[in-house]
Amino acid sequence: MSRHLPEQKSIETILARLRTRQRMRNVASSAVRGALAGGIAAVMTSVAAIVAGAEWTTSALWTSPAAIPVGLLVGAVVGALLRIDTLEIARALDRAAGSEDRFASAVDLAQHHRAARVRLVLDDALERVSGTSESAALPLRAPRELKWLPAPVVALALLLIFAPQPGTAAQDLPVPELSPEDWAALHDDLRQELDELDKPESDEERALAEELEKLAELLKENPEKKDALAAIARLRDQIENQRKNLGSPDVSMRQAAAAMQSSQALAKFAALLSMGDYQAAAQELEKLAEELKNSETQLSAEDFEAMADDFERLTAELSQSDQLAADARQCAGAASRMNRQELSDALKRLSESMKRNADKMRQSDKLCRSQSMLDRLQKKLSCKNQGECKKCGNGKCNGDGNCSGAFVKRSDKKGGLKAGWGTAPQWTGGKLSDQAETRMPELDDARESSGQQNVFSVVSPDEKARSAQDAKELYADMVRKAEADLMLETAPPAYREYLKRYFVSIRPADSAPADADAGE
Amino acid sequence: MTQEISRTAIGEFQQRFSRLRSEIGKRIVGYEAVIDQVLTAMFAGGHVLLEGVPGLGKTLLVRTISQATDLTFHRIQFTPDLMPADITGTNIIFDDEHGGRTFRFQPGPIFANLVLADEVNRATPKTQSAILEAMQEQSVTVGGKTHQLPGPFWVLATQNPIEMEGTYPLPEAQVDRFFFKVDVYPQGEEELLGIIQRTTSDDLIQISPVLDRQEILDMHHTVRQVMIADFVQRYAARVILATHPTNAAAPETTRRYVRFGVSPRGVQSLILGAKVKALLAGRFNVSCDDIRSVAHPALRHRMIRSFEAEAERITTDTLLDNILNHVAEPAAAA
Repeated sequence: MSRHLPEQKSIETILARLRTRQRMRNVASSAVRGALAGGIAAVMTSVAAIVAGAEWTTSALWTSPAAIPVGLLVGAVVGALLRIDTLEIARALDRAAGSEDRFASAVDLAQHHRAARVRLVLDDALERVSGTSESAALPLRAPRELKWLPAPVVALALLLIFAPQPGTAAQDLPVPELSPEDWAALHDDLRQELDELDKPESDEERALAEELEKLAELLKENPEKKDALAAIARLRDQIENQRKNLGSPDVSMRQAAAAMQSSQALAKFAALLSMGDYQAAAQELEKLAEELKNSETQLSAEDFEAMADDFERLTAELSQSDQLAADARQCAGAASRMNRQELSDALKRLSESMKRNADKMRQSDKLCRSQSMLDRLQKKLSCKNQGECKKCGNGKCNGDGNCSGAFVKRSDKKGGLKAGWGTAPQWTGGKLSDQAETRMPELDDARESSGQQNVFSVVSPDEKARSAQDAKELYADMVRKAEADLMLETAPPAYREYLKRYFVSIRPADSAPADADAGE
Repeated sequence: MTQEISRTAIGEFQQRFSRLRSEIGKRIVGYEAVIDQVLTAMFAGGHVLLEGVPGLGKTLLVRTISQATDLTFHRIQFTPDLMPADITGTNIIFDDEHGGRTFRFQPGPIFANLVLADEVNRATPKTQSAILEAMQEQSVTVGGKTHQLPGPFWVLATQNPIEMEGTYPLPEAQVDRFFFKVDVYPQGEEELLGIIQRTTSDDLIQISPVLDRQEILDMHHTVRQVMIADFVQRYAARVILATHPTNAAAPETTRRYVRFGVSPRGVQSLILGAKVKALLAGRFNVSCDDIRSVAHPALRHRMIRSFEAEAERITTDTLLDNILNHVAEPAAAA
């Protein structure tokens, strides 16, 4: 049909209104669906970020809700672009008007070549739907998806509130083993002890003093505990090396002085010795020797006996130093024989020996004090109840420096036997290197002799002592134990062969072949 | 010159239909749906097969329709010994006025506007097939000569259910030629009371012809002028296709219980019957509801059930209900 009937224009007008209405419905419906899809996507993204523990969790949690308005916008655009089925909206109008497909048929038949009949259909349809509005035909109902829209919104809100945040996680990091207050106290103690030390005189002493100053500064900076312990160990090694280089007798003259308590004649000597004034002590001995020689001092038998006892004790204390111990022993012998001349000579020899070694002993004393200071500091660091340990100055410690309390390992994320990672209580102050943990036996006293060497001693690194059992006896004992074990259960043939080969391989050359049958 | 469809034509159609229906209602108690379906088929130009147990008034209904219309009416009582020539007629020898003898065609009872084929399934299939040509072509061929039947031509057949004694099932080809198959069921209490009052007293019920032949032909023409939109035709086609078990869109019940689906004659019946419904509703167009309203009488006899359906006593009406629920109308949702 080439020309349009007037009724067709009316039909088109109604259809245009219906299309507009339907487009609004599509926009609303698609927008809600888009928002719902965006919400679901946001929730899934947030959950995935939380589960994966990704670094972008926080940003995902805060930015993902934006997917809802984005989805809404995209949905609205899609809804506006959706194709509108003319027949669909025409039938919707028919249903609203109760016109039994009149309008839909009119739309469908509008171009039919039977113009007269089409006009009848159009007239009939327009008459029936004229009183029906497009809003009645296509009501704007809330989309069904709208009731589900709060679900992702609530889920996102809950995730934002309750999800673990990286900021929160940082609070779970292990707290330092020592608080800044603890480090400050350690620094103050060390500083006080450093101030009490004698002024350095040699270059080595100055170098050591500088190192100790650095350690004090380190404590001031709240270091990692393992760093402080490593610095202490390094300084201890340095002191030990200096003491070895010094070549002085490894004796404690102060302790020796404390042992001399019987003789009144030696009281001044003991006092000077305990003060560390070895030159003065030597002069006092020399003076006593002169007085004995010149008979200016009268000694009773009890005095000689007390002097003999004191020198005996001194000899015992100086056992590490051959020369001093020998001189002290001669003094003790002379005193016990009550021979004034002999005692005078012996005292002079001891005095001269002390004069010769005075400087070294004084330096050794300084090193010992530094080492003691470091020992105390190390014990304070190792002590878990720092400040209350009896040994290191506080009350809760059991005295061995390994008490529990403030210095326990705070985090279980790291572990091991190395000093530092929460294992300080188990550290005994040994070397920090892994090699200290090797327990391979050392060969000691291996003697060179003709022929095959079968005799050697096994010394464990801990005991540092010779084994009481030789290799043959050890082998025979192992064979007996293996036989006893094999009596208890049946070993598979292949495994017996393996055992046999093992025992044959470790059998000493002159062992009886019958011993090797243990594996069978 | 026939009348073009108009509001007036539709009004006349409705009025004639109503007049005929009222006249039939004088004698037939109840059976409104049965009468509507029979008249719908008649005005659409189709034959009707009425099925029901004996004594329900099938024959009376058809006789009443014939009396209410000014048409020629013949009744054929189908019996097992009825022969095809008894229906169609045959050539017999006549003595002419010149003393000679000649064969002349003697029309059978099929030559009428309205033929009642009473108890059609009591005749043998051979005799039943005698009316095939008449029903489809509206003509009868005897002795090599085709004789046109008068128009309008309807066959209104009654039959007893196949389970009854002494019945032969109608061939599928013949069943398919019936426009509608109308099931006649026993009536209720009120209807029985009406039957008692009308048939057991001495009151005479006079049925008068209310429609003549031309009026009926005009009504036929009006029915065919009703327009039908593409989407309604498409819906009718989908319904038909859904009766085919091999069709992918068919419901599960169809695939399981139907052996053969509806032929194209079925969709013709569907559309024409729906057009009558549209006219009765005062519309110039056919709606999907019209299709559904005539689906059962138009299609129930065209679906061949499977053995499984018969064993489980699943009727074609049940299958059609499933199909109508299954097939979606075009652009149903808005």
